[in-house]
Amino acid sequence: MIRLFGPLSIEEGPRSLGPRDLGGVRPKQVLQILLAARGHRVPTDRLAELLWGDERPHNVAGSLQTFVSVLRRHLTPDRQRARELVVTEPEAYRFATELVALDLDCFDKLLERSGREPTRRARGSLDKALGLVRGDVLEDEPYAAWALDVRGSYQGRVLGARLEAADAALAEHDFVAALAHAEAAIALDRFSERAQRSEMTALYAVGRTHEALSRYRSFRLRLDEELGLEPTGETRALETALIRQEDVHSLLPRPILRAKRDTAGRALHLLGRTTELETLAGFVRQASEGDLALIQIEGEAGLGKTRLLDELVGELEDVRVGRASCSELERHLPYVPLATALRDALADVDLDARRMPALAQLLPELVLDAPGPEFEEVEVLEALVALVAEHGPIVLLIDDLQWADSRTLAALGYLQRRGAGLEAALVTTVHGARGSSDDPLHRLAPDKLLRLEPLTRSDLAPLGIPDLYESTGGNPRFVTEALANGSPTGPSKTLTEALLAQCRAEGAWAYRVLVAASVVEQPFEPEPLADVLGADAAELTEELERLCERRILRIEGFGFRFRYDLVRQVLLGSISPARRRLLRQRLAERVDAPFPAGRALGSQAG
Amino acid sequence: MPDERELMSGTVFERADEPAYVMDPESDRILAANDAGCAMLGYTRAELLETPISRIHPSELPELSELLERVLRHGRASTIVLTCRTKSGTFLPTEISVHALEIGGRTRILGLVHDRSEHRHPRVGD
Repeated sequence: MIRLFGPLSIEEGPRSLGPRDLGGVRPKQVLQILLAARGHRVPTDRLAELLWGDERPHNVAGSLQTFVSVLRRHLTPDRQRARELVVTEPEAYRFATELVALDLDCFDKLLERSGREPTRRARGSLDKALGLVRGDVLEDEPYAAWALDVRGSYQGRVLGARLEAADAALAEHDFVAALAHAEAAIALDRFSERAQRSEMTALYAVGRTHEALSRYRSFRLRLDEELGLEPTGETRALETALIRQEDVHSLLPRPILRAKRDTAGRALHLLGRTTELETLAGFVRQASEGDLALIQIEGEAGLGKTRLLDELVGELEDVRVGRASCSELERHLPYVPLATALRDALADVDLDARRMPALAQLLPELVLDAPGPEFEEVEVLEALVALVAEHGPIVLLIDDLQWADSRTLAALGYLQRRGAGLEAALVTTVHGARGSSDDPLHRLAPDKLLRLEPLTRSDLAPLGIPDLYESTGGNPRFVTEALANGSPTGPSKTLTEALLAQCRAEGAWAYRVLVAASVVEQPFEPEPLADVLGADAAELTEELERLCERRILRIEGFGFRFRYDLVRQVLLGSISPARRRLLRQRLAERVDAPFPAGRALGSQAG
Repeated sequence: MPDERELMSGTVFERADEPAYVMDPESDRILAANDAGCAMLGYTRAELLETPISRIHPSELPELSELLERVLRHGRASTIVLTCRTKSGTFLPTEISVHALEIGGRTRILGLVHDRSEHRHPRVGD
C-alpha cells in the first residue's frame, strides 16, 4: 500500500519506506507529484514547473533524470520493477498506479461504492474509507503549491464521507458514532449546516438536549458574526423540534434497505429477461450461500449479456462483487481479468502478502520490494481458494470470457473443483457458441448455463412501435439503436460500420456470399446464389451453414435467411446501385432458368 | 428534458433550486449557470462564465475526464466523489449528475450539483 494520506509511506511486506527513505526531497517530491496524477502522464515541463517554478536549473532534463533514477533505486532493488513503476514516456513520466494499491484510490472506490449500498453496508465501506485517513493528503509537503489542490479536494471528500457516515449511524441508531462523525465534520467545515444538524440530532438522541441547543446557538452566532447569515429553515426547524421535545425517531434519517442501482447509461428499462434475471440471481444466491458455482451466460453480440450482469449487481446484497472484462489484446497476459475482478471485489481489504505470498503471482501489486520466490501454479491457485474462503460471500463477474487467457480459465476451473464450502459464484459471459474441443474455454464445464435468445415479439409489445420486432429480430442492441434513432429501421453510422465489420471479419468469400444473399428475397436457397457467384452449390451450402453457426444466417425450411433483417439491410445499403442491379439481373436470369425451387428476387431488394 | 430554448431562457433552468450548469467539455467552459449554481460556488455569473471548469476541479482532471467519457457514452452519469472549489478556496463535497445534450448541433453537458455539506458562505452580488 502506498499512502498519501498523512506523511508519505510505502508499506510492502517487511519493507517500509517513509518520506526520508527515497534519496532526498526532490526524488520524493517527484514521486508524490506522479502519484497525485493517479496513473496519468506528467510532462517533464509540468514537472519542472511544479518543482522549481521560474527558478529552473540549467539542465532541467538531466536533473529530472537524476531524480527519477535515484527514486527508482530507493523504491525497489529490482531495477526492472522500478522501471515498470516509474515509467519513462516521451517527454513525460508516469507512475503505474495500476501496479500498486494507492490509499487515495481505495478511499474513492469505497466512497463511491457506499453511495450505492444499503445503509448497513455503506457504514462498513465509509468506516473503511475513513480508516485510511491518517491525516491530510501530502502532509509532509505543507507549503508546496502543487500539493494544495489535491489536499483541499480530499478534505472535501473526507468531509463528505464523515457526513454520510453520521447520517448512516443516525439511521441505525448508533448515536455515539453519529456524534463522533458529526463533530469530525464540523472540525473540517464550521459552516456546514448538515454537519450542525447531525451533531444536534445525535446529542438530542443521547439525551444531551441542553448541549444540542447550546451548539445551535453557537452556530447561529458564528454565522451571524462571520457571514451575516441566519441558519437555514431546516436547521431552525430542528431547533424548534428539540425545544418541543419531539420524538427523536421522527428526526432520524431512514435506513436504506436495498442497494441502489446505478442507472447511468440505462436509458431503457430492461425489456424482457425477467425470467433470465430471476434464474441467474437465484443461482448466484444459492452458490454464494454454500458451494461455489460457475455460471455461464451465452449469447451472440448484442443480446444483452453485459446488461444482464448490470441488473444482477443491483439484485445482490451483502456479498462482495467484483467485475472485469476480458480483452483480446490482453489475452497473452496471465490472470488479468481474474485479478481485476478480485481487486474490485476486495477494494476495501488490505491484503497481507506475507500470509499468502503466492498470491503475488496473481496480484503483482503485492510485490513492491524485490521479487520473492517463484511459486508453483498449484500454490497460486490454493492461495486463491484461501482468499475466496476468507472473504466470501463473493461474486466475480467476468465478461467476454472467450477472450480470457488460459491461466484465468484454469483458475476458474480450479476454483470450481475446489468449490465445496466456498461461499462464491463465478458468473461469466461468452459471446457466441462454445468453441471447438481444443479451445480451453470448451474444457470449462459450467455448473449452470444460461443461453440468451433474442427478445420475443411480446417482450417488445409494450414499446408500441410497429415493425420493431420485424426490423430488429428482437436483438436488444438493434432495438436500443432503433429507439435511440427514433426509427425502427435506420441504423446509425456507428452500428452500420460495426455490422459491416462483423460481416467482413468472416472473410472475403463469406462477405461476398452475404452481400449477394442480401439482394435476394428471404428465405433463399443456395443454388441460384451459387450460380451467380460462380461457386459449387455444395461448397456454398457449407459456407452458408457456417454462417448459421456464426449466427449471421439461420436455416429456414430448405433454405437460409438472415438472422436479423437489419444486417441484411446494412449489407444491401453498402453496395452500389450498379452492383445491386447487376446482382438482381443475374439472379433474375437464374430464376427464369429451369431450376427446382428457384426463388424470385426480393421486392425490397434495391 | 427541456429543449434548448427552455433551458437557456430560464423557465426550467433558472428557476431550479439546485445548482445547474451547462458546460462545453471541449472549451473547458461553463456556458450558463443558474442563480443557485453561482451562489454555490461564490462567483458572480460573469465571473463564473470566465472561469475554466478545470479551476473548479483543479486536482480532479483524470476523474472529471472519466466522468465526461461516461456521460458522452451513456448519455448520463453521476458521482459522489468529486468536489468543487469555490471562489474562496473551500472544497465542497458534492453529488454531481451530468447529462449529455445536443444544443444547436453541439454536444453540451448539463450538470446538476448538490453540495452535500450545505456549506454557507456570504452572498455574492451579480
